[in-house]
Amino acid sequence: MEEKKEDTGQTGTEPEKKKEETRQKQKKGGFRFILAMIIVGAMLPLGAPTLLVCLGLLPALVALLTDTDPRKSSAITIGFLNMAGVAPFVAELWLSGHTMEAALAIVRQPVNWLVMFGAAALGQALLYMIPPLVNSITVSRMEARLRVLKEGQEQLKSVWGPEVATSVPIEAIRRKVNQ
Amino acid sequence: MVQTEDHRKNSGPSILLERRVEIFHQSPLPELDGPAGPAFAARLKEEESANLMAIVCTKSILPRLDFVNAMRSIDNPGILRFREAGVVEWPGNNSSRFVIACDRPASPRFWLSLDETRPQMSEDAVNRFLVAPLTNALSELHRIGVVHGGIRPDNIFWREGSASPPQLAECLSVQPGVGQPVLFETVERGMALPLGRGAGEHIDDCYALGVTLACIIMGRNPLRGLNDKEIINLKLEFGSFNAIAGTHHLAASHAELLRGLLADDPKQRWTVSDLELWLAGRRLTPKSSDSGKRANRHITFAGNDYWRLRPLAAAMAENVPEAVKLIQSKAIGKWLMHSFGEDDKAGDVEDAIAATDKSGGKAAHYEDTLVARVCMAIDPIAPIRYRGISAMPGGLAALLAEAVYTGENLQTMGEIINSQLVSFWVDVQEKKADFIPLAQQFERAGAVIEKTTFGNGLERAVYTLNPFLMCLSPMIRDHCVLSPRKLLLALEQISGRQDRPVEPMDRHIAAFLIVRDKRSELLFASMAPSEPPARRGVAMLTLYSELQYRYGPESLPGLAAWLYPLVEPAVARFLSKPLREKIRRQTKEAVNKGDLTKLLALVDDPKSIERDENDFLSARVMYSNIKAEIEEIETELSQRQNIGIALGRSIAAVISSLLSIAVLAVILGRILLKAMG
Repeated sequence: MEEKKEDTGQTGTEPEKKKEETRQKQKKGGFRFILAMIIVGAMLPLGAPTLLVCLGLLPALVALLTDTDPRKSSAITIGFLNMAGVAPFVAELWLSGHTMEAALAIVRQPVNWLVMFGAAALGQALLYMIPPLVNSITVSRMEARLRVLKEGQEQLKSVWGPEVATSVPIEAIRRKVNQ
Repeated sequence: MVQTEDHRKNSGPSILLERRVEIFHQSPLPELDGPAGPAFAARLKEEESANLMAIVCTKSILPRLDFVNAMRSIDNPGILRFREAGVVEWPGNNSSRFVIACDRPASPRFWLSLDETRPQMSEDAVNRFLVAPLTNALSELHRIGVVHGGIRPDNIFWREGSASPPQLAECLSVQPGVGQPVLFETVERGMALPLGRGAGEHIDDCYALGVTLACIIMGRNPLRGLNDKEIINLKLEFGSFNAIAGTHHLAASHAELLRGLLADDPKQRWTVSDLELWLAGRRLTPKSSDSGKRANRHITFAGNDYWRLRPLAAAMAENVPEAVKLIQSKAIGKWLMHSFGEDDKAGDVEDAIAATDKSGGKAAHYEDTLVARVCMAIDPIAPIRYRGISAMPGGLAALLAEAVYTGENLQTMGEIINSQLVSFWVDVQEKKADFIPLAQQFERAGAVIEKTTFGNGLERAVYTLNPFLMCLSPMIRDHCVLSPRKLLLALEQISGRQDRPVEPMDRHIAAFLIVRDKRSELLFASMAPSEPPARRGVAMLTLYSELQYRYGPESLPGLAAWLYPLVEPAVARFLSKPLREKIRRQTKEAVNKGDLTKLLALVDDPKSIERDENDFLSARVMYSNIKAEIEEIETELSQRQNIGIALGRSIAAVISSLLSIAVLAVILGRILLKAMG
């Protein structure tokens, strides 16, 4: 349990330092600070799961640190799926006695890494596919709207004449028509 | 034999006058032609044995419609019985004519020409066969207030020895005095142009009867071979009686009769009452001569000596430059006072000069006006004589109508009315009160002439002064439109012509409707050429649709088609193109139906116009909004690579969250299942 605590203490100091550095550099690390505090807080009572979680959630941590989006949508995407990938092993650890050995047994299996990091990769894949897809859909919708609007303009012109696009007084239009 | 021949003429194709008289337009009666136009055989539709004659007014634009009803009431053997009058469509030339139908005379014209010489009739025969029946006829005319204006030997139908009395010809087809030789007119009426002689008075007919009787008694025209001027001069110099019958040996009773009837002084002239007294045997003593007062000393004018006023006035009217010199020398006033003792007339001359100076100063035609006024002051009962026009004030209206019809002397007529010569003429009359309405009428006409707006001017004056004049618009003058009721029919008839004018409206029609239909001037002001086309077209359509509603007919497709191009600018007022096209389609349907009211409702519906305007303004706002949105989208699309990226990431985050929640739920479920065993 002490090792766990040490491990947890070791693993907990790095993000804290990193967060401090980031905070000093970017002055916008509130979310990261809170996350780091949660991680550190979780590490204290649960040494084995913390090891597993800390190792399994490395992609999420990387995403969190590299995401420049203020809404942190990339970090959320990768982080949530990464968590979903880690969660079965945390449950397994929990059900199998909640020991460091069990945790190490899980860590030693490459397939488990594949699952945890693969889930994070799925998040990255979502990020890779969905924004361009939304971009494409939105652009085509805007272009369609543009076409509709231009058609509307043409229809207005066909009904009311080119004067509908001007601010010429009505009497002047009538005079012109009668000439 | 005559009857048979007359009946034979009542055959062939005919046209109906007022649904009761058949006119056989291929059966002319040249022997009955009058100054108004040719005569044709006619008969009553319901009484085929009644032979009528129809005078077709081809030369007269002013038949005396004001006396049609009065003449209906006359059934006198001495006057051709009036039967019907009206406008008929004359075959052949697609035009209408005014026609007067009356009984066909039983006898031929008494004299075929005024130049013929006939055996003298006995005193008794003249009295019995001519004076008595003609007095009776004159009495009848006097009773209904009609002046015949055409009594002369060749306008009386009678055969000597016939049992039937002499008959006076019809007198409604022309104005009194038109066609009447100067010989049969009083001096003052004779000085006037035929159409400018005015309605005249009963005593003018008595004068004509006097000359007619003189001719018959003498068996010849006593002044044959003399021209009009010579006849007037002779009458002025010697008086009418002396000029006409002075050299002839007359029976005492006839001398008395003619002296009474040929008196130049209207107050002295015999009337029909005097004639009746004379016929009853009462002897009157008319004045011997009334050639006018003679001066103590003559006055020299243009190299001639004048002793009397009327010849001087006549000479002055014919030589304006010399007359001006005489007037400006003040010689006339002195002559009037010293040689005539006519201080009043001298005062009138001074008034004439002062009035001319005041109204016209030294303006154009000052001299003509001055001489005209001075002549009136010298000879008050003579006609107004101005720049070659000579007319009694009562005849100016007819003369103006003629001037407007022919286009000649228009300016002169306008000047006569505008320079208030009529008012001055009335001022110098002995009985001013009788003529004040006339003066007022001409003052009103003068005010109308001065207005130059559409529907005013001379055109309006001519209809104001001639209440029974047909519309003289060049486009419909051949259709004898006497009332607004017939106007649309006439326009419909000419609408199909290739040479029709661009618009079914002109100053004449406008003036005619303002006067006859009591229309507002404002409506016609909108039709002036200076107004916008849409306004003009709608104004015309408004007018004609109302006339159609009021007088019919229900369908006027020709007129509607004529008006359509004029109201097209009104259709173009609609800003919406589809609405415009829709209205055009509907207007074409209304045009085909000839429904002017519907046409007007389509092109001039204020609610539709207002709605169209509001829709247009809304469309403008919409266009502006669309434009703004387009600009916004285009700005966004200029950085298309960034569009939706943030949203896409958010969506990815949501998907990721949902997936993870699902996984966690499955795991949690498995844990729970395991825990439950």
